[in-house]
Amino acid sequence: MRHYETIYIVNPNLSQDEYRDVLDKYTTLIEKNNGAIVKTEEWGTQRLAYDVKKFDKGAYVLLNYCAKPGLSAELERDLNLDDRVLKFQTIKLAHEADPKDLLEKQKDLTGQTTGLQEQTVESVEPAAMQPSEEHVEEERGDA
Amino acid sequence: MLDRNRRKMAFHRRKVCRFCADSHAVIDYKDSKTLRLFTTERGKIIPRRISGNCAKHQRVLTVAIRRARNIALLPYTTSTLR
Repeated sequence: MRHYETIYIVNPNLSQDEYRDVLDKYTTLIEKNNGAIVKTEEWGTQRLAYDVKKFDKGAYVLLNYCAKPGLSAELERDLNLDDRVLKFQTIKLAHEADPKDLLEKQKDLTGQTTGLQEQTVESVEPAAMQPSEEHVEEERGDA
Repeated sequence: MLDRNRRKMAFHRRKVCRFCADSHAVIDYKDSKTLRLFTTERGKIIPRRISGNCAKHQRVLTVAIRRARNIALLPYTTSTLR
């Protein structure tokens, strides 16, 4: 099985129930097609680096899963047709992976550090204010 | 004399690749905080000759930044005021 990671951004103005609906839809889609979900992360509503479909905020959801080659294409097609999803991106992490091994590893990881998920959410927001370490002579052409 | 001056300029400061120095540091496109260190205020990727990264890690970093841009974690550009 292939090992994939899909991030998708959900419309931030949805109600809690609608948001759950979206999440459930894609988790069940994977599970129904003999895929195995390794990990799901909800990053919550975050500011987007640029506007997507006129939205400047979005709720990020990360899906880490194993599936047969065709499934990611199907998932992407559904994401594309879904109005509630603003944007998505799938990345292949491994060509050949055993979901059992990955699940074991994931369990070990979550056992060690439980606060990890919250940390990632926090770390993204203040980053906007942080100046980059080494400043190149910036061109200030169009003022 | 001129030659000597020039040589002094060349030995400016030896920069070390951050990812080689710290073997635990992984380049991940989801980690926008770290990636931001390697982009300018404008959102451009800082070249290797300035950041001091090694070729191998710069390559990985570039891909990570592009992925982060695609999913709106990093800006393509900040020329539009927000």
